Amino acid sequence: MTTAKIPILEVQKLTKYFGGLAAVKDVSFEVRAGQIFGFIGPNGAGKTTLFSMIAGAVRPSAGKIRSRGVEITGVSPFRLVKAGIARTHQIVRPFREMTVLENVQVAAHFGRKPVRSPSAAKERAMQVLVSVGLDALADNPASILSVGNQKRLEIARALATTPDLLLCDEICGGLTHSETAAMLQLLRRIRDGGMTVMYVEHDVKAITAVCDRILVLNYGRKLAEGTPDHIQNDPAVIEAYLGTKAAGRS
Amino acid sequence: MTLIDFTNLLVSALLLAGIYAVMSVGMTVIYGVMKIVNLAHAGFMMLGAYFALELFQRFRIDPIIAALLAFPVLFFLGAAVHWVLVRRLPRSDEPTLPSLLLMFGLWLVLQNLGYLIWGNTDRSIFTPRTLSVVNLGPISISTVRLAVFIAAVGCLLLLEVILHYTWFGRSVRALIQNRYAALLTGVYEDRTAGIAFGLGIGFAGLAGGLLGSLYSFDPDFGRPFLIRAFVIIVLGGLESISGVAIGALVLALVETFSILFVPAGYQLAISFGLLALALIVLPGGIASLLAKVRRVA
Amino acid sequence: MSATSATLPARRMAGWAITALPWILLAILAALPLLVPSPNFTRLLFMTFLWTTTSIAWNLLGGFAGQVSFGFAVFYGAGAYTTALLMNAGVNPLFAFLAAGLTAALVSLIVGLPAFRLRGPYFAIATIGISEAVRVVMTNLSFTGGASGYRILEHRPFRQLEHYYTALLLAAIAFAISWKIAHSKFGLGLKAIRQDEDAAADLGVNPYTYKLAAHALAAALTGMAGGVFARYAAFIHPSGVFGFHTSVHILLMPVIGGIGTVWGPVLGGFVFGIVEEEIVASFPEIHLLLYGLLLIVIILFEPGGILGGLRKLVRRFRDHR
Repeated sequence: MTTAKIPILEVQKLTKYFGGLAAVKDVSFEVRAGQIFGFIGPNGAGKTTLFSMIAGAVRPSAGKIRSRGVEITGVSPFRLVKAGIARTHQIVRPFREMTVLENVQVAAHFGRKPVRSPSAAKERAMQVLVSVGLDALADNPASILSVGNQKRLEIARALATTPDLLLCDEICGGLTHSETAAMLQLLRRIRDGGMTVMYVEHDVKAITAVCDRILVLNYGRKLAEGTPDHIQNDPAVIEAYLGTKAAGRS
Repeated sequence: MTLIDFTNLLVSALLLAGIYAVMSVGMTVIYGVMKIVNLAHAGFMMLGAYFALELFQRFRIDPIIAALLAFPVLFFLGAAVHWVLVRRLPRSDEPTLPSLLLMFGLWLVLQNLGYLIWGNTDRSIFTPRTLSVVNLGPISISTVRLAVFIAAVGCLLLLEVILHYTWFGRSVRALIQNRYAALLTGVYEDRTAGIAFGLGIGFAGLAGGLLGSLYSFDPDFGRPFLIRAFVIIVLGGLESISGVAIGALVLALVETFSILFVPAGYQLAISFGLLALALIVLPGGIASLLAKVRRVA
Repeated sequence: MSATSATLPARRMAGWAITALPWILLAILAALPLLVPSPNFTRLLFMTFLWTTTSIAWNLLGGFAGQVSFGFAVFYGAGAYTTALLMNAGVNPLFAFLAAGLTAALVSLIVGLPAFRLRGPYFAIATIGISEAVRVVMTNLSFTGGASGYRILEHRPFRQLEHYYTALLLAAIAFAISWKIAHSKFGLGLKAIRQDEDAAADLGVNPYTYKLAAHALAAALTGMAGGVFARYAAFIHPSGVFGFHTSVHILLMPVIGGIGTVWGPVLGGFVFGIVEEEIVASFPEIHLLLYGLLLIVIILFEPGGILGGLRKLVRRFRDHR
């Protein structure tokens, strides 16, 4: 069995209750290596909760998560990094009192292929900064970066942990039109370099522009799954986003 | 042990829980509204105790009344401290190191002021009530403990009324639950925070005054009570005022009944052992346990 | 950033001076008791070295990792009593000191395992409680003398210089450890934890074990300082070595000097050591007041302590050129 056959992420009947409310119910899907796999859904659909469960921030109420056959349900975030899964944050969380380089250096030190010596970690960090285009700002304190660059920093940090699977949480949130286009281009380059990306986004246009495969959530359940074209023409999806009249018209 | 002895201990624990709850509620309000852990709480309790002592010794005012009077006095003192010092701290949704150290510095200052004004000998408030006992059938209750309990519960009920039936109370609850949203709906943070801080300090003073009727005190006396307040708050789930009541009850029960097994000097260590155990088994406090029970799976 | 030919050698010299500074300081301090043979002065410096060791130690956890502990007296006292008990049993002082450090580190694990489940200020208050609980227990424990204290009977003659150089060596080791950590992977991990523990975990840092490790190291150094003190004083008691004021002093020094830096705790240790001896001598009744006010002023106006203030001055001086 070649490694391409075992999905890089496999989610089975994942469920999360908050009090009596099911934020996510019985969601199952597979992500294959080398894809950009996207998640969309109206507000309250459960995208963030689903993401948090996979990223280890929230413990599922039921269901299983596997990465390349190994079960990772409920595993804490730092262990997930060692397993090759890294995430970015929707609201950026840079280490404000450190420089951009030091931010990424932390990731290089503690990632899946940890580096002990600070100089080696700095080197790897610099390489990653070059690949996302932040190398010119390396010695600046992270706090002074623009929003767009802080999002790039989030990606740089995650990449420096040498993951196989990158989880992006609304990475285009708050970006201008041109910044969004540049960010999507970056994601494509990351995917083309062999990385798998799992992408949660609010912006339907961005998702359909960049993803190879999309899963639509509604009220915590899987509504549809397929290629961007398939999703855009799915009547159930249209109804969920625009209401019954629009579905009738199509 | 007979049933009567058991009942006596139980009543004792209940009375203790009352004063413990009043002692902790001030810290909870301040933490909930401003995310500041008030280490100076101990210092203000000490001031309350000495305030009651002075009113009692100079003007022959009943110590319980004096403790109640400590509330408004320390309320204004608290509001002033907020205006001068606490307001200058950077705002945060999480407890910060500077706020912790600031309150700690304030506590040191208050302690030293206490030593300068009143010296370091133990003081106590002694009235005919201190030795008298009320008899409910076979159960005997120390009168002063009963009076303290009634005053404490009365004030807690008053706090509940304020929090649920006044505009100010609603603002406080809003800030506790979600600071940002509260600001968006028009709550004046500075003013509400100042009043809430005053309220918290007022309760500290009240608690101190009441405790002064029960125990002897010196300027450092706040510290073991500060630790107990903390145990109670953590047991109760950190931000819940009803949690404080439960936490106070649990601690009071443990402390009262542990006298049967352990010499009195080790009580504080027992309370701390309880806390450590609770943290390992139940990091969210008792409130999280209740939440789990309430949830429909 | 352009550098004129005039400033480049100046900057290189400044860099050389900074690396050489610790060694120069060490040499001066080593020579001092021989140049100024005053037992009082030697004693003052001895205590300052011990305070500085605990200051540097506390800063590892409180400054680098951002976990403020109000309970370091537990480690100081544990080290003191361990050394005292072992020396009375005939153990060589060096081994007694090492055992003190080891014991303190073990105690730190017992404290840290439950306590580090709490965040920030709640951890801080938990440490107050634990420290108090330990003091209460030690005050009641009869085989260590209880409240009346415990005496060490050393059959060798008292040689003040031996104690002086032991303390100096300990402080030097503490400084070296602190400096090494600040420039290492471990130190960067601690700093990341301080800034944003969850974000650090999302990058592969294990916050729990890192905090425990920093705590253990800090406790070991503090414990050894307690041990060195116990041997010098030959008499220790719970309200002294386990006292809350001891925890307060340990925490004040790095805050005054410059929390989170390498030199800050050293500055704080020296300033505190010298000032404390003078103040306690002249104005014992207001020393809590002074420390409290100092803390308030530092927090509100110069959170970086003395070092922070100096850095600002240097920057303002440089900007005016």
